Amino acid sequence: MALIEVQHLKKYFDVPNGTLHAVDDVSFVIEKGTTMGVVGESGCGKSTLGTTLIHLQESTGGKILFEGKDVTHLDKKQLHDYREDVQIIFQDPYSSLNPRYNIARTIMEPLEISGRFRSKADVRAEAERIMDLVGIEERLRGSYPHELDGGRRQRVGIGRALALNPKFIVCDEPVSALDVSIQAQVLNLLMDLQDQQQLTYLFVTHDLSVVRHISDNICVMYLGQLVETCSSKELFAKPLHPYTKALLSAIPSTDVDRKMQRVQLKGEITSPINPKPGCRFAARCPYATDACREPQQLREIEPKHFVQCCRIEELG
Amino acid sequence: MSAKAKKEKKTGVNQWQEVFNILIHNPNAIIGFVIVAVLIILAIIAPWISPYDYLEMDLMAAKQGPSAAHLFGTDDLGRDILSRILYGGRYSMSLGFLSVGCGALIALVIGAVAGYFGGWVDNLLMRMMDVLSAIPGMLLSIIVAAALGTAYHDTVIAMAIGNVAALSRILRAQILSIREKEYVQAAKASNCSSFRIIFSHIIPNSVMPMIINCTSRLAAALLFCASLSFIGLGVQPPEPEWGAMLASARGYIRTYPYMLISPGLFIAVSVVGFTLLGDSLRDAMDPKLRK
Amino acid sequence: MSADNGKTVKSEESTFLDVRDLTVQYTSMGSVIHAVNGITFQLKKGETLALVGETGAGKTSIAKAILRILPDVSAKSKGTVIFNNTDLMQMKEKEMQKIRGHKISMIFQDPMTALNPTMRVGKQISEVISAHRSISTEEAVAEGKKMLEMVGIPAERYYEFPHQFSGGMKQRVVIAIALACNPELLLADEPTTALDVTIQAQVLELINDLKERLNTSMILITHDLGVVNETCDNVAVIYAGRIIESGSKYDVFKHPGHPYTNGLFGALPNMNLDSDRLSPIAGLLPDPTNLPDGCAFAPRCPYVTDKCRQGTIPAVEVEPGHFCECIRMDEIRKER
Repeated sequence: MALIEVQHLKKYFDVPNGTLHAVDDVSFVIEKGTTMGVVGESGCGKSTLGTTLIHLQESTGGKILFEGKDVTHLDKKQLHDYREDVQIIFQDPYSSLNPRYNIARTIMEPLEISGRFRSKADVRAEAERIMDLVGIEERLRGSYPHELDGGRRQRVGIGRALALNPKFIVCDEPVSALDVSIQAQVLNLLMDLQDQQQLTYLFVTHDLSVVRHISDNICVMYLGQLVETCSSKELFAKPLHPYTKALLSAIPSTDVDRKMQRVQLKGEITSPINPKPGCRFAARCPYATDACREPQQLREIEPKHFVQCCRIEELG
Repeated sequence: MSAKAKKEKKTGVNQWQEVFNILIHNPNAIIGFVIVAVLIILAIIAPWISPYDYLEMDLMAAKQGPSAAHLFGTDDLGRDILSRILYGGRYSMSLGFLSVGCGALIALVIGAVAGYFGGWVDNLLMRMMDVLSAIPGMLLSIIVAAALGTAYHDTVIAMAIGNVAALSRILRAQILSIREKEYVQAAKASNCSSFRIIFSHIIPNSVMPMIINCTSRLAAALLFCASLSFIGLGVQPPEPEWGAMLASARGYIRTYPYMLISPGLFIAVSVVGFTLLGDSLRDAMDPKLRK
Repeated sequence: MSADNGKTVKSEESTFLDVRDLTVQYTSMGSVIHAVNGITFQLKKGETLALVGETGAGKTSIAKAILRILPDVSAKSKGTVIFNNTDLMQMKEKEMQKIRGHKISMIFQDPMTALNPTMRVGKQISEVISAHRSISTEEAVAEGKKMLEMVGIPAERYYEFPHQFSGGMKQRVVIAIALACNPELLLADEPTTALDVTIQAQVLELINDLKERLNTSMILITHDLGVVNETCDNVAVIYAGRIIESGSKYDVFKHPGHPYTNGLFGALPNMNLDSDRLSPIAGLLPDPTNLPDGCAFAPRCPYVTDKCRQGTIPAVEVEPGHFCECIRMDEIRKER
């Protein structure tokens, strides 16, 4: 069953020089209980996509469907209910927690607001349960964020996201700011929680190796456009879009025996402000032609494997 | 790394307690604190320790230098300078604190409303602050004091107004930056009411720069108060205030300099005390300096 | 390259950087942070050594200690750093100034803040050149433009300001500044961490290319094992201020000895494998103000015994040139 369906979603910002096309005509479906990874580099719009889906920002165009219902535009009451179903975990463990709240209070606040509990004691008990779930030791529950390391702070962020019992969580680069040995702990925690609570995730990251582990399906974004989407296995086994291929080959490998065949991209990432129509990757694509300047379509090249590139068949 | 017992780091220490810990170890902070504390205590117990009534005139004993009977001497009307200094402290200190405090409160409201709501509200309020800051601080206070009068509360307002524009801007700037922080976004996503977001999340995290600025302003307020009295506004004779005492003793600078030395000294020492305390408070609160 | 923690090493002709027993301590508010605790390694000319470790391991402190740019007030460093037959730790500041930027250069981590925002980028490069060579202004400008071309930036951009460049290009400028005087040793502190992956690939290639052309030796500080693989010859793994494993890249990557190194590889989401759960290293990074006795990794090590928690752990040579600071190396090898 599709939990989230996104159709031609757009999010534009007005900036002094024009319009910034942060998310431009993105469509995909996330099945219940799965993880959709969204990867891309700076400026691709992946974080904006996440915050727009949960209404921290209002979309400029397109449709968002949640459990089949249209949630693109919500009034105050509907927004209130929607927020109990969708939550977010942020990237920076240093700015995602209120420095004046201790851990227990951070977790208790959403519980109090939800009104699901009668007494303060019940709220406290539920907070303790959540803190057990995410692995925060008892002796630290009265601590303040600045006394904890990044990994623990992220656990608090996860606990806070779970407080309202959501069905869907946007994970916005949740492990990017953590050390490698801690990253693995937090990723495992997220995957365990998904199994236990039947959660659905949108996992935003720039780190392809992380996304491979945690995602069932992946969307690859470039400058606001969705260039490729398919299952995780398929993306790594058979990437089709030139950008995806370049991205995968750019990652430094830890295999001492393999010599990387790198697809070198020329130039820099262009600006998402007032973009010209057509494929935005064309400026750096080794295979670009005039046809690439026409508006592109996301097409199903192989079963459940969508690519936005007019030259795919020729290059394949 | 030796065989000493591993100490468990105490947790649950919030930021105010951390600031306190830092201050305790800073000699400047301690000196500043002692000076300010002593001055405040002296101001409070003035009625009980003054050797004479500060208004009592003894023309026979006028213009006498420091002696056993009058530790700081007497002024031109025979009043005991020491008693007037002690009482004067009450005016100087209270005006200093109150003017900065009132200014900060007004600034808090203006800055918070402007910062949180943005749009035309922000524009309107900030343009009003711009107009206010276009007038030099001293001149502004003089105009207000001249317009309102010289009653105690009028003086407080006159002095407070000079602080409002800058403090509201500082608070607003901090609010603009905190508003975008992820924990505020998270609070929104948890269905936090606007009220709660402003009062529990934004304001507590925004006041620090304003407070730091206020502590610096205390020293200036003291000087300011003295200046106002010096030019005849502010505290009026026969009420004692250090600046006023300086003003009335102006003519005697060559003949009876002791009349100027004691109030001048007290002004200087109090400014030093507030400055030391304010600077160390600012350093203690600056997260970058802690690294 | 060898790291045998104090034993006399046969002085080799080509050893051009010899660091022995380097320690760095910071004092902050009464507590002492033991950032670097007895680091010993050698570097040959033309070689690239990776210092790998996580946050707080002490890697940046090592680089700053070599270059003598630690904060005077709070940091204390001890040990010897022999560079071209002189001990840098004993040098006077004036002499160190001749070395910095000239013989030894450093690239810092964040390109966004490494450049002076009010100075044109070309000038920032020429400034370094003029500081170390007595040449005319025109010549310095010409050299600066040459450096820009060398890092792949058109010479016309000499007169632009940092904010007109993207992150990747800023890092290229930083590299140009660092290499302007053709230093013998380059210290690179996480040079690509802040960059996007495709830009990182470009910058790494640039660094590799320049290194070969100018025969620069390099110490690369990073936490990214992939970057290590692509640029370095030898690796030293740092944990709690000590080198707990060192050797050639091939040896350390193919047969990691120390349980921590092993754990690091296991915790990495590997693109080429299809495993379900990662094997994280349990526990947390050590607190540098409160390091335990014995092996710093003991609280997290799956093979720990009581002996591990006492005294200093000596380095064991598991294969020629490959050292591990672990007293249980033989038993662990058998277990695996």
